[in-house]
Amino acid sequence: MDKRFTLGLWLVLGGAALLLSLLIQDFYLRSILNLMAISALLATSLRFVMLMGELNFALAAFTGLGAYSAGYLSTVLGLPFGFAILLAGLITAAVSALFGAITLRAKGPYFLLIGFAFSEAMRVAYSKIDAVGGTSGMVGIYPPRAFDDWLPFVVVGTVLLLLIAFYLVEKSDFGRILFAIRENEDVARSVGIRTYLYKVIAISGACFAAGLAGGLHAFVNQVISPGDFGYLLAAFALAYVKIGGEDFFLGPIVGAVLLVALSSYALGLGGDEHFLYGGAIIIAVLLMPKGVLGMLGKLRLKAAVSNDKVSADVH
Amino acid sequence: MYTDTQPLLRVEGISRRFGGLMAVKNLNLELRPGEIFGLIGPNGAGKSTTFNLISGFMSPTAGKVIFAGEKLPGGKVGEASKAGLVRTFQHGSYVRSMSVGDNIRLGTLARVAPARRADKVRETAAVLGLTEILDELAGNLPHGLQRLVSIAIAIAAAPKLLCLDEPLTGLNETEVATVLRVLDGYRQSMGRAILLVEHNMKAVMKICDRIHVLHHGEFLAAGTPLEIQSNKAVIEAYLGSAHAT
Repeated sequence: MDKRFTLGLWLVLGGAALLLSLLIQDFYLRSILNLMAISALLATSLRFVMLMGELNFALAAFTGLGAYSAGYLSTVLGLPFGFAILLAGLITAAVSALFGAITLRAKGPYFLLIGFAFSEAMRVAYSKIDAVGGTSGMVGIYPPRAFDDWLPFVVVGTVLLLLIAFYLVEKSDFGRILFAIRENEDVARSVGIRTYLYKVIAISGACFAAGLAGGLHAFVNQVISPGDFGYLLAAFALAYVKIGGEDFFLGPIVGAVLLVALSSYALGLGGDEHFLYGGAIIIAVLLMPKGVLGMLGKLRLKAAVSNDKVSADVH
Repeated sequence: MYTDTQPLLRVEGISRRFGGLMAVKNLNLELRPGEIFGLIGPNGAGKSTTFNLISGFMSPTAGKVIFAGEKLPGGKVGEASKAGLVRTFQHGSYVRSMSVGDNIRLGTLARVAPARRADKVRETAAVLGLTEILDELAGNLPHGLQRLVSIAIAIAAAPKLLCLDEPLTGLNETEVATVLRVLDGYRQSMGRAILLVEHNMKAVMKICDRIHVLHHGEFLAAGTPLEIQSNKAVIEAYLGSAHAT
């Protein structure tokens, strides 16, 4: 893909999302759009760490930390909306850097398990701390009145900015180092790259985004509880990545939009929506190992090949 | 202060034990600036261990490595590469899913200033004859070219000493000739030293200035290719291992 096409694609997709966020008036549709944007950001954060070959199941814990930080800063300390969210992101980034510095000596399944355990521990911790509402969670995390009509625009805009940042980092030398760490860490080390430091920075950056996503979630929902941030949050993010297509930057975004749409539709069918949802994930992973985008790419290649054949036959 | 008249690399009485096995025993060697130095020996002679000890991928049980006048801390890869000692690996030291250009750029990321990186990639690609295929995925290339990409990554790091771990293994004769030509070209154009661990005797004899022979983890002989070829102990060690296999 050449650069101009990529830029055009960004402008069209980003512009369309922003326009939608302004045009949609229906309360339910607006909440779905918010959910899609936040899910896309979480899935992109998860995929970013996957670039260096690790599955960051602590994503759930750090999204929760962002949400609880934003909630506490706003309702208890009375900080303004934007400031509370930004500070929530920074707190999450700092804690995740510490988490990464300690745990990134482990790799693969070990790192995944640590993240899983950390998420569950944090979930239990929230339910034991009365200052953040214990098991019933925090309520009344309201954005300012003036933002009432603009909330989806703010959410989609913030998510877009972070997605662009992720994209630019992935295409930079930093991204090359993450690829190298995933496939051949020794090579990166042998030319003097301090891979451990890069891993810690990568996880901290990814969790900064997760913290912001958590903060946005808190203000969008106005209510948060420990159960929102169990390991399932990370499992869903992984489903978005895999279904959209892990190899593509747009993969987690496409996956999030599709699956959130499907789950909202399934919700309307009654109590068994998870059955349909789970079934869709299993079928998609079995039939499209490279995700929706991978399959589309394959179809386009096939079409191009058969076109060549036709023109060859004509000549 | 380090000057060019001193040895670039000095290994002093280095040893490494794995449980009951002494893989490398009290080894000394000196490598001069600008020379191509061969480290050879039959299978299990301790070449790879020596290589790992020098490049910091393993720490020695005894002895020290002095590079460009400074003692390297054992087992610290970062310190060795920061000082300018850069190595390749026997099996695929490149990133399959990145383009050749991005692979070479990877080599520049720690030791070359950001503004100089693009030039360094171009320069390195030219020395290795990879200019035409900078956009190809490294994983899709034939074996010989992949080996050149591995070497290119190390050369792009602007090493003072390029350490190559069996760069000719599994290559056909044409590919071997290409790699040797490239290494000779590198030495001619950059004037930098190479430490070569290699099995292919013909190639080693052809390209090396000096050779060091290991056997059972110990020093066996040292000298020019001509001296080594006629050294009785070396011939015996190699014939012995040939009979055994």
